[in-house]
Amino acid sequence: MGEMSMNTFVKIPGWLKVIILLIPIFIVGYLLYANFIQNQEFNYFYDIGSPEDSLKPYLAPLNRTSEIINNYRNINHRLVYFNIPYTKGSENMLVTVKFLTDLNNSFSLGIKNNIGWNYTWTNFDNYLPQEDDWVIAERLFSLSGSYPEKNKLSLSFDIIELSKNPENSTFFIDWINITVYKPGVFS
Amino acid sequence: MKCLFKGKTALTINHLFQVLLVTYLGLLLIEQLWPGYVSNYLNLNYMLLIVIALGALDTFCEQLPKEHKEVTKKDYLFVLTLAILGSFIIKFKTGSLGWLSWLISAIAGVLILLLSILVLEDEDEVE
Repeated sequence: MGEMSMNTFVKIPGWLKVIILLIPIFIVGYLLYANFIQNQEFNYFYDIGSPEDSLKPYLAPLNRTSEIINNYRNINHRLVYFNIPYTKGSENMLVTVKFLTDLNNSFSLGIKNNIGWNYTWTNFDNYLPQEDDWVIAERLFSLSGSYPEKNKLSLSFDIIELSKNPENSTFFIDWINITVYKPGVFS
Repeated sequence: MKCLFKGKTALTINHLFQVLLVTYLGLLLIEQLWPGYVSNYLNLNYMLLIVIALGALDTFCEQLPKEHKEVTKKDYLFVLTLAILGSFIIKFKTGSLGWLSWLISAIAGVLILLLSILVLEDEDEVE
């Protein structure tokens, strides 16, 4: 009896083999669908002054922003930078920023477009005043011609007026919300 | 070691572990070659956890006798294909090093080939 069982090879039933093989097929299928067929929206919310921001500041360089004041930071130099994750094939992004300033509202967003220090600058065109003098600025930016590096896209805020009198000006930033749109193959 | 799983259950766990391990490694390779294609939609760390758990379960499975298979020309051809593929991937990833990348990928390709042949022939001798 023992000898017999030594010579008999146990085999997995065919249906079970098929089910196991369906797992990688399903994963690969899902990735193909998500990467190439489905329309995608990626949302990135940067809460400036939050505990996450205090651990790993979103805006750089650090010497161009103040310490956290009441859950936000003051920008004290005209150029500050941050990175967003970039997915290949992304078409455009909607950037919304909540800020409070005593300067002229106008400021622009730069999207890195080449190797080195090269950015495409575009002004925000939609300013929505909120309660307590805070303002929400919003604009849809095209991502064609952008230059992501290692799956990250560098963005920059340029507050030109801060170059004139940075000591006596304030530009408090509360949050930045970015929604990236990536169209599918059939859209 | 005490066998917690025997017979078909042991074989199923072993098969599932192998399939998921190969899938995980394949996805990891895709992520290395084209960053974001996997990680944007799937957290590979969760998959790694599942693979580790199955690997741990597999160590408590009964070791079942396997069918003896002779090493054929097909096996050598498969190993050669893998060596060429591995060599190309390393060339692709080290491309910025210039001529050195050709050297590294060639050495890596030869290493893959020789080690695989060694494993193949060793298995053949053990059987």
